[in-house]
Amino acid sequence: MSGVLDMIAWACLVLGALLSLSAGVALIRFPDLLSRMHAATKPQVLGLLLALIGCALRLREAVDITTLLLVAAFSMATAPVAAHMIGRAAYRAGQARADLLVVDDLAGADDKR
Amino acid sequence: MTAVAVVVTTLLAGGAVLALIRIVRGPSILDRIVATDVLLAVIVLSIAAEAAFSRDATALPVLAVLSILGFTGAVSVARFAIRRPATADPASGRDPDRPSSDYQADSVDRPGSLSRPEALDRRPPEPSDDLLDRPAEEVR
Repeated sequence: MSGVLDMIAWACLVLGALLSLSAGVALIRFPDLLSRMHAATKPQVLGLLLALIGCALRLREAVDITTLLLVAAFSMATAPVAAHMIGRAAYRAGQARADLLVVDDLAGADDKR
Repeated sequence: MTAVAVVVTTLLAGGAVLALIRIVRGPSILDRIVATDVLLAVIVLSIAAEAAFSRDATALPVLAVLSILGFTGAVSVARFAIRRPATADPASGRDPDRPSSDYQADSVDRPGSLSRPEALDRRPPEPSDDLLDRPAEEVR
């Protein structure tokens, strides 16, 4: 049983690390800020949750799992707000490349600030 | 287990190095914020991996602090960056692919902008007559 839990923990950690490497590659290769933000959310949310699950499967104590749940709750609550702020700042600074957008709902907005 | 640790460390280090390259190359401050967020996520992942490998919960409070700190940094720098187009330097943060008419100063909130006469007679555009004459279904 303990061996199985360890195996699942290793798999979660390797997957999370793989997601962070893919985010690094995407940060280098993607053309503009919004697509880079899309790639950056992978280790921030899914990779973090996988790593926390792997950590919880290894530690297996109530206090540690509570701390990990707290970390997950903080990250889930704050990551969308930060991404929203960055995306809005990017659009208003003219950093969203118009030729890469499929739909631009703010194109006709009078007040772009 | 050691093999897994080596693989995880290599992957995380690769992600961190690539995020660092993006932080150095920029080109804008917002790219650097996004790359810094990724770097912070990699750091959190590596601390969690270290805790998992050594079965030691000492570093777990650091994770909670880091997740709050990253949010605060990203939001504050984004608030700072949002004011940059309103500064006197028109070349900063502009996309050369977009026409310069996108960046006219009509929406810039500069101190004293109300003293300009054209700022006072800004009013919403009036609806055209032919739109009103048509039946409602066509307009919709």
